[in-house]
Amino acid sequence: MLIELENVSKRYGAFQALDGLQARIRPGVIGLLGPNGAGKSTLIKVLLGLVKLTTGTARVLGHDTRKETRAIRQVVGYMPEDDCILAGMSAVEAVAYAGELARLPYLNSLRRAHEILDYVGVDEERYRPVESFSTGMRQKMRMAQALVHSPKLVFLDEPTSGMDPKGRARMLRLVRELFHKKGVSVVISTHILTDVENCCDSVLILGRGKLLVYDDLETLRKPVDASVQVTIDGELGSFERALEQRGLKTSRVGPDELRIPGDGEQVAGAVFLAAGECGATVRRLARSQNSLESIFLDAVASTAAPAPGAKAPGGSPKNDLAGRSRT
Amino acid sequence: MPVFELGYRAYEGQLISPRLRWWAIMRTGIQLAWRSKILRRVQYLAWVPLLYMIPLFFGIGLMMDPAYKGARHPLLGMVRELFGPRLVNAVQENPEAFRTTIWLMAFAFLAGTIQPIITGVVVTIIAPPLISNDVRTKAFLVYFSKPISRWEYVLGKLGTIVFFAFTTTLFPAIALYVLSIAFSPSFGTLFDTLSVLPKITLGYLALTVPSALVALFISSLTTQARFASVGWIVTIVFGHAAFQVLSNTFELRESTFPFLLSLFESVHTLQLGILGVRDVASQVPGMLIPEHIMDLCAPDPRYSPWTAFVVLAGISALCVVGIFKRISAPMKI
Repeated sequence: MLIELENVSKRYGAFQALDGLQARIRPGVIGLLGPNGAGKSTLIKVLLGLVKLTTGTARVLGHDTRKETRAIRQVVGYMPEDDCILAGMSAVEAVAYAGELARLPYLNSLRRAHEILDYVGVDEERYRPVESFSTGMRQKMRMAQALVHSPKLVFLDEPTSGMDPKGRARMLRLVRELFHKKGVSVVISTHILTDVENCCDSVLILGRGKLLVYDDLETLRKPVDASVQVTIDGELGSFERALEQRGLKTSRVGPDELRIPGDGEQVAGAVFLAAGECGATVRRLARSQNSLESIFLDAVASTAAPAPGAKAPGGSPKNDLAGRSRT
Repeated sequence: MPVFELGYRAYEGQLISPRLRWWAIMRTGIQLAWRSKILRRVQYLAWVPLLYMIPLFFGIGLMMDPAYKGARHPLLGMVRELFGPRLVNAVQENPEAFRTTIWLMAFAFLAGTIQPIITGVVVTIIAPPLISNDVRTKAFLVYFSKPISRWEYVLGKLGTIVFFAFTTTLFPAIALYVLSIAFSPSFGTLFDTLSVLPKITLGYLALTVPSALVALFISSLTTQARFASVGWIVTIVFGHAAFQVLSNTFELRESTFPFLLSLFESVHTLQLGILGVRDVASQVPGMLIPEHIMDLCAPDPRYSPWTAFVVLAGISALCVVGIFKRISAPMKI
């Protein structure tokens, strides 16, 4: 098991940063999601042994975060969100230094720094002082610092923020490759949901310090109930009425889009008949999938404190994923 | 893009001993600090006092050589001027008995005059950016996400300062000692003066470690190295000025309190206590130390070396606690 959390709680004074987290996280590329203040950074710091737990037990690659912090940091890499520049150094020196801090001998560390900088795509710029680097270059250098000592697990905090599209695509490719080709598990903490959709195998969503969702992305994206989504050219109201006359329930999901519960093949015939009847053109017909955005919003909405007299938040019933955790 | 890319491969080489984790921090600190032109110049300047001290030690060698008894030699004149004719005459009568004391006096003279100023300048150049830069850029996360403890971090930073302080103080002193042994009239000089080397090493540690810890603590308080420099200078200069003023006021003339305000006085007193010129001299019959030499070589009777030791140990401990708190704080956010 990659990470084991047993009733993990962390309190800063009156603020409950983590609240009874319970999960067994499998190796892979894991997206760590949550709104600001959800406890993502605290969880990473707890797993690195940088902050002590208030209650509970956390294990990373079998090492207890309370007792074996050094053993954890020897096999774990961390790419912080902050600049974390080592002033006065060039990129190659900074990466080699990170290797030395993880006990690599100086010359091996220097050789390794060059290899890793090649890997993350820092070319001749590696000899420039890091203070002169653009945001994207700094991200790459931090990634190299996290990987230089050959960790088995890497925590990446906002790895693509401030990067141009090309750099971002390259970074995501590296992240995917790290696990699928090199066997290095990755935990990505980010707010960019498309990044998670593009490269993660599983998702862990936190909200107000609680674990809201942990499951494989593929499983999460399967809707709880089978349904199809139809996009049409034409008058949506008469199309809806035509479908209801055929005994189908509908719900609008966009200005020209409907969701219809039911198996795709059974619904399809009725959809084309209804469209023909009201003179509309079916532009798209597909089985529904939960988007990561809807999964995230539904999960997070379940932790929002409801306003007095307001209805309990939540999306469509099939997206009600809060508390869904496969451990 | 590289013509040939190795890609990512797991590292399978050796790891250095876990006990040497601090070494990387110290070595890199030295490497980065050495890029400062000013520091390099100060390092060269620190060896200039040897231009005076080497002839002085040759003079001491001549003074202890029976063949030069009563001789007129420019170097002997220099020694007479420093130690006074009565002491020189007494030494020439029984050189072996006086040798250790005379050498300790000479090293106390070196350690108590120009070297504390040079150490102060070296610390002012090196220490301020050492932690303040890490505070500014949150570089602690780079250190503490690797298997590095706070002790090792502080030890590495401290080692950087101690190394440069030693190259301007201890290393010239050791060079002087080795030269003096090499050119001494007999091999017995080495055994007579064997206790001198550990004493001067301990003396310079007493000068360097508390000063470096105070400077590192000040560095950890700010994100700007220049503010840390100003803070360090103010602590040293104003502390010593306050000592000078208060120790001369009538009410505090006999008090220990003014000494506590000056880091320099505490360090100097402890250094002189370690060298122990007065204790060694008291065991030599007929040893008459001239007053101007005693002022340089013996601690002030109002402030004992033990008090200075307790004060410096307390200051050092407080600084370590303060540094630990400052470097731990960003982790908790």
